[in-house]
Amino acid sequence: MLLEINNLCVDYDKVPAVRNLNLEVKEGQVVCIVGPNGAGKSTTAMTIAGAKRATSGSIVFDGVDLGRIPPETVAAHGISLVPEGRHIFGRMSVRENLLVGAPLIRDQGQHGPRLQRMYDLFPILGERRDQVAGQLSGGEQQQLAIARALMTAPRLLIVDEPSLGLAPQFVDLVFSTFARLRDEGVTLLIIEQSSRRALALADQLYLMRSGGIVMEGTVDELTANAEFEATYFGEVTSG
Amino acid sequence: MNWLQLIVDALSLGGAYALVALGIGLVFGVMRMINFAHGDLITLGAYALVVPSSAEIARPFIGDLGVWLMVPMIIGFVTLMMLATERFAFRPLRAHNADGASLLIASFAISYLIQNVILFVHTGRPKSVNILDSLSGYISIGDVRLPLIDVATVAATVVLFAFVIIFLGFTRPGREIRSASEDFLMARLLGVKANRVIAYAFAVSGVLAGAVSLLYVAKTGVLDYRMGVPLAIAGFVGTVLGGMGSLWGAMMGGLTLGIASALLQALLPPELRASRDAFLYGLVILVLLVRPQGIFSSSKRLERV
Repeated sequence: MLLEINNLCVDYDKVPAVRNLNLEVKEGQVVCIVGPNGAGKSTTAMTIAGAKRATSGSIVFDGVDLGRIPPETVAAHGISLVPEGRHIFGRMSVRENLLVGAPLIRDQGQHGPRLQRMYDLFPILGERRDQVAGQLSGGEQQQLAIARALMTAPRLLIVDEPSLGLAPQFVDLVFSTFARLRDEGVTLLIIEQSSRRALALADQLYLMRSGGIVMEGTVDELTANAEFEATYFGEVTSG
Repeated sequence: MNWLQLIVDALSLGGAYALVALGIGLVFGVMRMINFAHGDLITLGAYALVVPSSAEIARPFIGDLGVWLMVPMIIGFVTLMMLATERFAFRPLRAHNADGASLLIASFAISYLIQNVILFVHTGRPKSVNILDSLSGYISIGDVRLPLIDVATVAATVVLFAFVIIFLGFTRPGREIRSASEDFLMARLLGVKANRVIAYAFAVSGVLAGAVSLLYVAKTGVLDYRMGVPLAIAGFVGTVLGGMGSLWGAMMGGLTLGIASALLQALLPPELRASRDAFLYGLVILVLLVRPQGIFSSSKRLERV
């Protein structure tokens, strides 16, 4: 098991946001957490990445307990988060954005090839490498945010709401990139409010509501479930 | 007053303010804290030039060494002291999740601590000290005699700016400082170590403070235990004027403030010159009323904050 979360509880501004959450991600899998706004999905992602502290429970990544480990150390262990809202460094160039995470790859000789690989995955970033990132369009910024997270050569890539606010052609591009990454063996944890694209890609699905997992299973298992149909597909608006 | 002389005067004061503003801006960028002790670190560097004693006449200490030893020693000393304030005051507070207000109060505490240590060791009497005697002369350009120290200040400022621009733009620590200044948490999520990037910012801030110690004493020849305070205020105002959180803005804000101050000094009627700072800071208020986000900051950035 690559990631194992047991009985995780997290407060957000002293209000419980995640309650007794259990979740597992196997190496090479694509796991999707879906659920309505305010279900605690982003809080879960931020807590795994070390950006929020759990009040109780455990997060074990490849045998290492991530409790009380700061985000930079979590990143060094091989987890990279693309947070909701992209958070690109708008005043730095595209290339500089990508290089921020590069030092996590110890072998400096690999930085150049890794950079080139990102330009291959997202050709627009190669074309705009010297442009200030703040001038990119929303879709281009999302590509940059994903590429920047991949620059750290993560073993687990967590992407929070990758299709939020994106034009359909960018959603296609982002998810075809995820499919490509999956084929290359990258483990993915995708968080989406509602997206058919995410479901199509996932090996394992978790439905989250009011801070806890209310349903889990493979895509086939869950889509056969009437309750899942009602709570999830009833809200599908994008993808 | 001759225009050339006025320009050099304005650039020399503006340059010094810009160095202070940039030093404060670097730390503000990564910690979102105004380090009010910055000015007192400048004072500390200045006092390191003389032998610690309560004697009325200052005896040169590091200030007696050749320029090639004195400059790196003062800059090195201030940088170390700056790093020490980070390591022993701010870092423990951050480890306990202190909020911005606590950090600000801590910077005031360090400021008063330094002032009182100097007061205790050196007494409150201003001391005179001569360093960089070779800069006490003048350069003659036609009919104009320019003080060598002012020309040297402008040159040193240009060199230090170039150093900071190269450091921030083309080195890994510089890139880390800039990324952390834009989005500290995001930088950490990409593996940038919080303590290390903050230490980098304090170190560069210390180098700039040490340089200002030398330039200030070389120009005025006077040591006073509160000499850094107005510099810190000017630097702080410079960062606000330029647009909080933007390093380029801090630099330009400090420069603008210094130039405006020198121009007012030269152009105000003599009977009003004593109230120069009232006019200067009145202007600052006017500018901020029109552009609350600062002169060199885009309005978009304020929305983001």
